[in-house]
Amino acid sequence: MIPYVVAFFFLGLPLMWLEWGMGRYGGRLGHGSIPGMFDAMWNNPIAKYIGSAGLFISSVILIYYTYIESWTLGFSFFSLTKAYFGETTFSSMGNFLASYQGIEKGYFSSILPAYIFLLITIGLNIWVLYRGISKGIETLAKIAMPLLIIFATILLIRVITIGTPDPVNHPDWNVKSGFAFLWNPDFSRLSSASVWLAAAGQIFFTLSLGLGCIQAYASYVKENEDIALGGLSTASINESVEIIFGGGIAIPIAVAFFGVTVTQQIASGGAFNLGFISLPIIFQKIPLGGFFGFLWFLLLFFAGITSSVALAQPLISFLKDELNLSHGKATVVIGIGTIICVQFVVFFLAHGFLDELDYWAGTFGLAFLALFEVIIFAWIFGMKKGWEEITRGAEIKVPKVFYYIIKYVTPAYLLFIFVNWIIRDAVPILLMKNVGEADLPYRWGARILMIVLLGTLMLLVRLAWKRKTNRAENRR
Amino acid sequence: MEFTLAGKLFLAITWGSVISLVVYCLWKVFCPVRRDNRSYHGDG
Repeated sequence: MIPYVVAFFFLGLPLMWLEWGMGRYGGRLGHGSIPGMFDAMWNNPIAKYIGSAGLFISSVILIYYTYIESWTLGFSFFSLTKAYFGETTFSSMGNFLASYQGIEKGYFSSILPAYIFLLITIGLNIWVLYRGISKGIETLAKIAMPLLIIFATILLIRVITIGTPDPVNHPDWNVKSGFAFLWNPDFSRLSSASVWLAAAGQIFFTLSLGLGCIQAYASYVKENEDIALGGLSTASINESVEIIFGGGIAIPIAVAFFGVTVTQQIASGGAFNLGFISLPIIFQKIPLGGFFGFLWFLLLFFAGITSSVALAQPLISFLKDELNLSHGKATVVIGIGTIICVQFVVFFLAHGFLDELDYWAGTFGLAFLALFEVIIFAWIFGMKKGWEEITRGAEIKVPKVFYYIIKYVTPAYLLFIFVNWIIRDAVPILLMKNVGEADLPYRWGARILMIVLLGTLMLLVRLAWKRKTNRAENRR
Repeated sequence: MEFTLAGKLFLAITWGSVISLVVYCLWKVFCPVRRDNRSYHGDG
């Protein structure tokens, strides 16, 4: 947790303010997406092409995130119908999830249920996206987010008061041990570079940084709106939900029911395992578990919609602002693109197709774009102008130390991450040294899909700027 | 696993900090000195 807190102050908060400032600046010039913003801040023809990474990363994440989001809708339904009730061990619940995903034979004989929930999810996303920001996502967030926080508070109280579920056989398995597992500082781990890298990655993902989403929303912000307060509110509310609810519910309750050793095994298998395997087991062990499970996964689904709509926003803004498409047409283009690309994720899930997309877009890509953002904003556009943009109209006083953090510490931190990546991981990951023989064609397929997508987006950027140049020449 | 004093302190400081930040932000958002005017970029 110590590297996580450090990453929040030196990466999360500075980048949050930077992205709000960049977004509002771009919005003033009629740009709601990164290619236009980079082009406006850096008078170099290459800037807009680097900016196309801001469209690429959010689009790739949108493709696989939509599928994961549909699982929460499915599990909400299965909680209500008690479909997984009776699967009380880690392995049997794991088999339930794997058969739902079409990876193993088990409770589900085909992938059809998962596919139906995916189609419902895509349909709902397109509908919310089509309604626009104020009528769509803002309305949904105003209702769903407070409900999620209220429900998470109830669940947190339930977790804290659950004590020791099996005092006779497992007196050590309790919530207190869960909190100890999470919060007891382990200073010996501070020397491990991978811990610092993982903490930085978590901060990026939690705060939606390095995606172009914050800039897309910030481009709509009013002229003298307090973006310093907006950025601080976004970061602090996000962090409070992750630290208090995220850390206070899933892991402590898993320790109470499975013990520390098994929880470590579950957590090392990824966040999905904790969410879709351990929580359903726990819902079976508490009163009204089916109802609690239904509400929990449904509210997660609504939270997921707010995220996937945010992921679509940079591309929507690009298609509207730079290619002059109507909002409806831009929504249809994104809907069709997502439906086509998600097929690979659904049918090649067992072969690591999703993992490959997630690594390059959801891990590497976020830090890559953030590095260019901070270089262009603080060093090319200029930190003096950048600071003026962040603090204009601010009712809160942003501590001046963040001026220097944004200019020196954040880029140095990001460079450290990249140098470390190149030294430690670049070669084996690029050559897929740790990938099984059978999965190699699928992993390469994922890379080809990403290259095609990136190439298409760069061509669209080129087309948009060519049109603009032609229009400007015609006016003369 | 014993929940150490250092762990309890770390939890209290972290939870206390994020809750304080959220309260401060909510207070500033809902009790503003002034609010404004026009958008650069339409209403989405």
